[in-house]
Parts: sequence; structure tokens; C-alpha cells
Amino acid sequence: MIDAFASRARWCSLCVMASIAFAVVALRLIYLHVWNGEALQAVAEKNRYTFRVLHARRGDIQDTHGNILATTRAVITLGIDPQVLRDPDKIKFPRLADLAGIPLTAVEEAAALQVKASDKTKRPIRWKKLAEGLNDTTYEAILALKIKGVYGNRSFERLYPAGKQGGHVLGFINKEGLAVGGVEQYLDFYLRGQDGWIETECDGKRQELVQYRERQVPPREGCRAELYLDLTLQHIVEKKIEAIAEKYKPLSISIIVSEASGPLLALANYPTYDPNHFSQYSLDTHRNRAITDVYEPGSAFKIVVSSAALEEQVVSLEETFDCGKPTLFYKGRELKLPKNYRTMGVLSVRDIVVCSSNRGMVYLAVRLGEERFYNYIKKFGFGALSGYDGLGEVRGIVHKVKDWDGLTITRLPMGHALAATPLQMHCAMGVIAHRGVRMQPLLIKQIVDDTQKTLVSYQPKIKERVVSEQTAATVMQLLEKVARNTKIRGVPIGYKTGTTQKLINGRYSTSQHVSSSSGFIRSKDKTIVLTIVIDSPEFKGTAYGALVASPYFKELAEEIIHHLKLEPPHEA
Amino acid sequence: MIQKATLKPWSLLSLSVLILFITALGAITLVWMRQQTTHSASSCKHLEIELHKLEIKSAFLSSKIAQMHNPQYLLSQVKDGFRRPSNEQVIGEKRVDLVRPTIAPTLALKAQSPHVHTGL
Repeated sequence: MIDAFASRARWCSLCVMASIAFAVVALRLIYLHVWNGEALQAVAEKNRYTFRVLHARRGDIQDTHGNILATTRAVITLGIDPQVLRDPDKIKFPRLADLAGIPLTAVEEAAALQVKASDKTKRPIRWKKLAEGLNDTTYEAILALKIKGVYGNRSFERLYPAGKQGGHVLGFINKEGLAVGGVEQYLDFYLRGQDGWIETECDGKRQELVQYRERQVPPREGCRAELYLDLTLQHIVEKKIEAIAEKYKPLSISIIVSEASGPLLALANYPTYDPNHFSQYSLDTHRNRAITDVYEPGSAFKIVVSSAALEEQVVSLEETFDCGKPTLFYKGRELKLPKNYRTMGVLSVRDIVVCSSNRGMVYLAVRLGEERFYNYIKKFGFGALSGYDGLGEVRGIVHKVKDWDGLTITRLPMGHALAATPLQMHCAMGVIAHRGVRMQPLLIKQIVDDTQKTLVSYQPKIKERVVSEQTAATVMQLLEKVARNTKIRGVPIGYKTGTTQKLINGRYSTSQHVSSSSGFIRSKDKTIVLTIVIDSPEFKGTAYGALVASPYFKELAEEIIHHLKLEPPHEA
Repeated sequence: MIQKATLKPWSLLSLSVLILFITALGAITLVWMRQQTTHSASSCKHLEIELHKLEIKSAFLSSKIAQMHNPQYLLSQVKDGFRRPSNEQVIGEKRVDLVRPTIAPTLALKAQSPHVHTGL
């Protein structure tokens, strides 16, 4: 056994060195914890503290039967980091391409990219997108391949399962996540929900230390919007639009179907777009032409003059007028009357409406007087917003009486010298179909929150009584006569067609017309209003509404009667 | 009268050991509790993630179902398309109330005077 020996000096120096070392540590600790403690603690807390936003899921939009028209789902965007890719993993590329649904060359090209060709700084590429819109199952299968550097980022995607159907009604969510047009924009406040947040701490690897989660506010899911729209009926209407577009190659088409009490069952336009791929379509196609574009309604507008004249009792149904005379003395001036589409002689008011006499309508308007006539035009809803639950509606043009020129009184009764949207014409027909009362067009049925509580319920809303029930019934009878008392499966239909020459470069064109047909289907339980407007159909000769729009009106009426199971009314 | 407290060496030692033991136990308990908290929090987070994943899957399935309910998709699945039945093909049937039997003998019974037990 050897006794250890240490000199006193060595022992002392060792003690001093150890003491100094401890003192340094102690001083450093004092500096970190006491001297600079608060500042350093703040830095550490700041590094650990994380504020994370929990995005709320946007609410769904459903049709009247609960079919989803717009929904939000989480999708994964798959990408590759070429910097960390390992060579042995490259044999898995064919399987990866197969799962992601992309060509193998796309994967190989992405994997080969190291720096951006356009980037002068030669920064390495850390992310190259491979595919987007992947679901969880596919992503899990891709992750199971264990390819280093292949991973995905989750994002929310707005999906419109019905594709093009109802695109104009729904609107869309753009790349910035903003609602554009339609119900999406109109109900954005309700649909977008309320984001939540988490205040928590993270470790050095940015992994959440859940035990230090301080505050958590869960997101509030967006409300669900239920529309009056019927997806099947919308499909029927859109198929019909496709057929019209194929046959006549028009500039645009609008078809509106609603209950007379206001609820819109279908609204479609041509050209249309798919809100899922809105960027692939021109901006022109995004327009809901039924509310944004105006046209001269033509003879369909004659329901206004005839209803007003009958309501005011300035004429009776059997009173006759000479509709063959080309001129009329009015306020001391001889006014040239518009031509009838065929030669007409003395006609009763009943026949003036049924035969759609332009000159006869002028007589009715003259009997009414300018002010009264103007008031009725306004009461029928022309020149004002209809109250459609969407954005972008225009008022149309109805000139005040003081701005009328000498010929306005002869042109206005046949639906010229004013501009209306297809929806305004539709609502005017709705007045006749709804016993003389103008109703607000309704698109949204109700808004329901995430606890299934109804927040807002939209019920049919009366705008005003325009004509008496009796007058409306009389005009309905006349319109049924226009349709030659046609009954489909026992259900009577009535309509008024319209044909207007388009105003091109300040002149009425002889080759371009707007053909329209607006009418109703009178069943036992409810009356359906249907309007078809076809702008510039390719047609040899004059594209009369009776020749172009009416056949489709009847076809659609038949399909509507079948779909809605409409039953014949109880005739008095 | 004041008595002098005598502290024997073994009791001092046992007291020290007890204090050390309690301190160590307290420290271990504290660590254990913290670990349990961490463990519970991790489990909660795990469940939270699972729930979120299920919600995502549910939303995805709902959207798939909605796509398949679309009339356009349904029609595309039928090779020759649909044709509406003609009026002759439609057969009307009387509505049958499935809850209540169509022939209810009890309802057909006439009102009778209550049976009186005479005791004979």
C-alpha cells in the first residue's frame, strides 16, 4: 500500500483553482439568474411561447333537400425536398407517382431540381410541389413508402360537389380565401365561422409542450346555409340550357324557376363556369346574367299594361279598338304606332292580349295615362332592385315621365324603351301568378349554426299588392289562352312571349334578337313561375319568342310538373 | 419548572433521515406528478389529433357522397340514361297506413253497454 503524498502548496493551489472554478460558475449563475435574469427569462419565454390560430371550417351550403352544394374539406398538397432525398429511395418513385396520380417524369424532374434556374443566388430548392388535393388515405399510403424528403402540407379546400350546377347562385372562394359573388359572398359573415386560438409553449424542436398550454379557444364552425334551390330541378334547367345553347348558339341564356310566393327553385345562365375551377373560365362567365344583364322585355311586358288597364277599369275585356290604324292623335300630335307582327283589325281587349297586338297595347296605355302607367311599371318592380339574396343586381332602366319623348307612350307598352333584368321580368310575372301581390324573390331558406339552431329563417315576404286578385286571375286566364289552353298532365300553363330587336350601335338590329318567354304553371297546391330569356339566338329570320323560347318553356314545364309532382287544380 | 430536553444521538440521526426521506419523497412525487401531467397532456393531444383526423375524414367522405349524389354523376353511371315513365306506366295505389292495420275490427265494433258482473 502506498501512502499518497501531496505537498501543502500543491494542495492549496488545487483548492484555490477549484474555488475559482466554482466561483466562476456561481458568478455566471448569478449573472444569468439575478443580474440579467429578467431579460433572459423574457427571451426564453418568447422563444417558447407560441400563438397558434385554429382555423374555423367554413359552413356548408345545401339545397332545399339537404344536398350539399358547397362544402369545405381538408386536402394535402404533396411536395418533395430534393436536398434530403436519398438515392435508394428513388426506386420507390413509380409507386409514389402512381399513388399521387402524376406522371413518373414529374417526380423525377422535381427530384432532380437542386437550384432555381432563374435564381442568381443559387439558393437550394427545399420544396417542390408534386400534387395537390390528396386525401388522407392516399397521403398515409405515400408516407408508408418512407421516402425521405417527401411530405405534404394540409390545407382547406372549398368544394362544389355539383360542379357547374348553380355556379352563379353559389359564387366561389378565390385563392386568397375570399368569397366572390353569390351566396358565398352574401352570407360570408355567417359561413366563415370564427377562428379559435391556442397559447402554448414549444420545445427547441418546435414541438408543443402540451402541459404548458395556457389558453385554448376552440374555433366556431361556420353556419350552414340552406337554400330554396332544388338541385335536381337546377340540373334539369341546366340540361335544357345546354340543349338551347347547342341548337341556337346564343350569346347568353337565363332561366329562372320559382314558386309564385318567391322561393327560387332554380336559376341558371349560359355561359356558365365551374366554381371548383373558376380561374380556368373567363370573368365574363362568372356573371349571373339573370340579375346583372338587362334587356328590353318586349311583348312579355304587355302583362303590365293589360293588368293596369283592367285594374283601373279604363277598359273592359270586351271593349274593342281598331288595331289596324297606323297612327294615333295624342296630346295634339299624330303619333306613328308600332307595327303589329301581322295584320290586325278591330280587336277586343281580350284579343289584344291574346294576339299580342302592339297597337292595341298603345291604346290601353293611352287610356291609362302616362303617370298611372309609370306608377304601375314601378309597382310591378321594374327599375328597382328585386331584393334578390345575392350581390350584383342592377336596377334596370325606367325613365321618369318627365324624361319621356313623344314616342315613349307608343313604345313602352310593347316592352321597348325600358331595360329590365330577366329576374325583374320574372317577378312581374310572379305578380300575376301570385294573385296580384309582388313577392320578394327568395334564395336562402335558413341559416343554421353548428348546434343545429336556426339563426335566421327567410320566409316569403310581400313587397306590395299591385293589382287585385280578380284582375290577376283575369290576366292569368288570358295568358293561358295565349298558351292555347295547354294542359300538361292536366296542369294548365300560361305564358307571354317576348321578341325584341337588339339595339346595336344606336340602331335596332334586324338580325339580332332577344327571345323570351315568361309564364306560370298553375297546379293544385302552388303556382310555379318560369322565365326563359335567350339573347341573340342563331335563327333564320326573326327569332320570335314563340318560335325559339316557347317550345323550351313547354318542355321545361313538363319536366317541372313531373319533378315537383304537381297536380291539376280544382277548377271552379 | 423548566426541564432540560435531552436529545439522544440516535434520535437526531433518525430525524435527519426522516427529513431527508420526506424531502426525497416530496421531490420524487413532484417529478412523478409532473410526468403524469405531461403524460395526460400528451394523451389529450393525441386524442385531439385523432379526433381532428376523423373530422377531416368525415368531411372528406361527406363531400364524396355529395359528389355521388349529384344528378349529373348519377346519370353518368347509367349507361343508357333515364327515361320518364309514361302515364300508362304509372299505377296509382291506395295509401296504406303501415302503423295501423287496414282492417281494424275494434273500430268497427258498435258501442256496447258495459258488462256487469252479477255474481250469479
